[in-house]
Amino acid sequence: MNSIPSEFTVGGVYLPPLLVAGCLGVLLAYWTAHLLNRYRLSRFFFYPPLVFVALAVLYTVAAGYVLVPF
Amino acid sequence: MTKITKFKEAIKTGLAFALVFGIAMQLGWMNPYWAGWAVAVVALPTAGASIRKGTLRVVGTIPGCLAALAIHALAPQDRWIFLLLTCAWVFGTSYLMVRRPKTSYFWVMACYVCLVILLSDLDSSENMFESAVFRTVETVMGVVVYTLIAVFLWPLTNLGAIKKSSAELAATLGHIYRAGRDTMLGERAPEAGFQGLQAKVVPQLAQFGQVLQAEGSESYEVSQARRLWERFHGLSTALLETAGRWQSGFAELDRIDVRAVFPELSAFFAELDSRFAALPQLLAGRSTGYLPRTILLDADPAELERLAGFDRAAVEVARKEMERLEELTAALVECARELEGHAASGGEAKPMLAPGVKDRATRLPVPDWDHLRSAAFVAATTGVGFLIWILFDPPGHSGWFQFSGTIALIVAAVPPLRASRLIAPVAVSSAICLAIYVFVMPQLSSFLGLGLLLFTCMFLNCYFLSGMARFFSSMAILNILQIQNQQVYSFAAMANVFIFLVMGFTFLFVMSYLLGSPRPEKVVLHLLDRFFRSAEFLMSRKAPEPGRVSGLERWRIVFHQRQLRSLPAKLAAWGKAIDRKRFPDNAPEQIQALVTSVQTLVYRIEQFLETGSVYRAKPLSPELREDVKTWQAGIENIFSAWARKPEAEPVAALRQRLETGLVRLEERIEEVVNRAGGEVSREEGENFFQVLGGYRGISEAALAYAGAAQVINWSHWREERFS
Repeated sequence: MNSIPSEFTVGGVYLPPLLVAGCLGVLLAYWTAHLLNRYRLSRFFFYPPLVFVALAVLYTVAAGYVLVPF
Repeated sequence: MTKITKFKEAIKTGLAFALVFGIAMQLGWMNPYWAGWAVAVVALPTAGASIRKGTLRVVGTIPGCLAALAIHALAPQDRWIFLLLTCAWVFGTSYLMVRRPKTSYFWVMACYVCLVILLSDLDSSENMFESAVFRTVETVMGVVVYTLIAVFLWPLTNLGAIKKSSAELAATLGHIYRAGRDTMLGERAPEAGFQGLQAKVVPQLAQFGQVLQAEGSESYEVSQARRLWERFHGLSTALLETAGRWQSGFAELDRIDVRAVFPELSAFFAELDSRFAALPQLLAGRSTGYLPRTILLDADPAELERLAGFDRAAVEVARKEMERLEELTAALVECARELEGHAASGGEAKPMLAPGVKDRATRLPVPDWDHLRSAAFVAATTGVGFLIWILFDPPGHSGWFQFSGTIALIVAAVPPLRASRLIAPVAVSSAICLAIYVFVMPQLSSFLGLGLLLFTCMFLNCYFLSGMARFFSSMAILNILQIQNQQVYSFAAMANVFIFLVMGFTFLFVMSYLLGSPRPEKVVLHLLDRFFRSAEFLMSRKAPEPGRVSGLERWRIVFHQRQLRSLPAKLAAWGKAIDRKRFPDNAPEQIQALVTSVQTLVYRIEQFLETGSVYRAKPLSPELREDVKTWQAGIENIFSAWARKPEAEPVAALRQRLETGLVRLEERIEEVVNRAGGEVSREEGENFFQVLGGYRGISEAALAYAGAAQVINWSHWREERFS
């Protein structure tokens, strides 16, 4: 695994990789929650808001390992 | 509003927006966007509404500034006392904001301005007084500029709106009365049209209240007669409630020949017809020769004797409501005559004659649970925002304290508004303003260019958007463009503001879970739980054995009465917020029927609570004490079960149980009445049958609720899901 942090620039402004990974993580968690709602699988969770936060963290870490090292 | 009017209003707002920036920058005032905020917020469709909002904004700014100076003076170096005092002020003002709808905006400003001034200069307190003064002056300037433009350029006035609104309100109340009259006389199906008319009159009442405030701000004549118009509003509200209570008892009158029981019924209705016909005429300023006369509604004793116990009880309950209807209509006509100058009140204050409202039984303040929750939400959000700022200092810095508290105020003012729904509009409008900041603003070199840009932004905002979308778009324009006299451009700073805005709304979304789930269906379940707990409490305190009631007990009774009266409206608001697509099994009509049945229960419980103690009506009562006690215990158990599970009592089983109890009690009444013979006085008999009617009314309303509840898919609402 490449441990050097990725760099993103927008118009010459550098964005922290954690921010990019975090945004990706939240978007993926949102998409997963949407699917779980659609197929009524969210009823099996005790407290979905906490599950959403956990999913966002997991996806962010996963994105950090696979796509955007931070 | 037509497209042309919208176009003109957008031009007025854009012009005022650009002008206030010009004035503030020309004079070198601190933070010109403060004046811009005043224009963006007070720009309302009519001059009267703008003047009122502007006045509240200016007047509310002063206590906000004073509170900020006091907090800073008391805790200049201690962050925890600073936090405690600020949260206490935020809690108090936000509680008053939701508690007092008429002056709500004054309290919003008192809270918001305090947060703004506290953070106006983070490095030292030396400029704080200056900030407070500039904030006040710029707010006044913004309000004055917009008001002048609104008055002189294409003015839109409210003059005459109050007469139109009151005449429409009186006409709808007349329709409601006629629907009730026809149903009682058997000429119309029960409930036909009543719900529709009630749904029509509630917004009319709210609109009348708004028109009164707006026209009162621009018309001296209306302002002078404000007390009378407020009385008219109060009487109309009371009349609507009384009509609801009257109509909720029609099912029990079904098998009774009411014309025979009330020989004067035709004359009674004829008099009420004349009053409802005269009301719109009087309010429209047309003279009418009508003068109200007192009418009595006595029941024929011989016909009453022939009725079974429960039928007699139903007649007593209906008579009481009709007498109240008579009192209210007479008071309304009198009020309309005074408004038109046909009669004089002599300046004396008159009682409102509202049903279900007795003299305050306690001197202690009686809070509303939801108002306390809303205030706690705002104070907690402000406090946690402060901790995030001082402990982590993420992008946005002090904004976590000030901005989060302000947006929490908006969420608290409109409870069904979901914080999660705000994230997308804020992100989009902020992104557009960020692009303007980066690509357009650096090209501007004079105020002409800047003024044109400001005018265009505000014009487009006002023309294309409305409501909350417009508010948040204005917020993006003012926060992202950050116009100052010494303009400095920093993409990083503005990108941070953008990130902060999105993070701030996400933070609010998380905080909204702090005091329970914000999901509408969960809130409905929670409100029903509270409703039935209050109903059970009040039923249990209908003292079976009269005794001395402690001060605390009286306070609890008043608290639960208030809960009971306020919860149906909250249920209706949250019921409408439930996502239909996610819960296709529960149609809006089914939810509306559930809310209606809850409202009927409130009417019947209030009617019952207003009656005297059943045990005072001797010699009937001692004989029936045990039967009535058993029945009351049964009703309390039902309410207790519904508080835990709203569908706990299936309608068929409940009907069988209640009807068996009714038949048994009816037989006992016959037996006791026959035995008592002529010993029972008329007054004792009336009291007793009113109480009995109360019990029956509650039973019937409980059956109606059970019927409405059994068609709802409750398990789906209880399921957990992501918001």
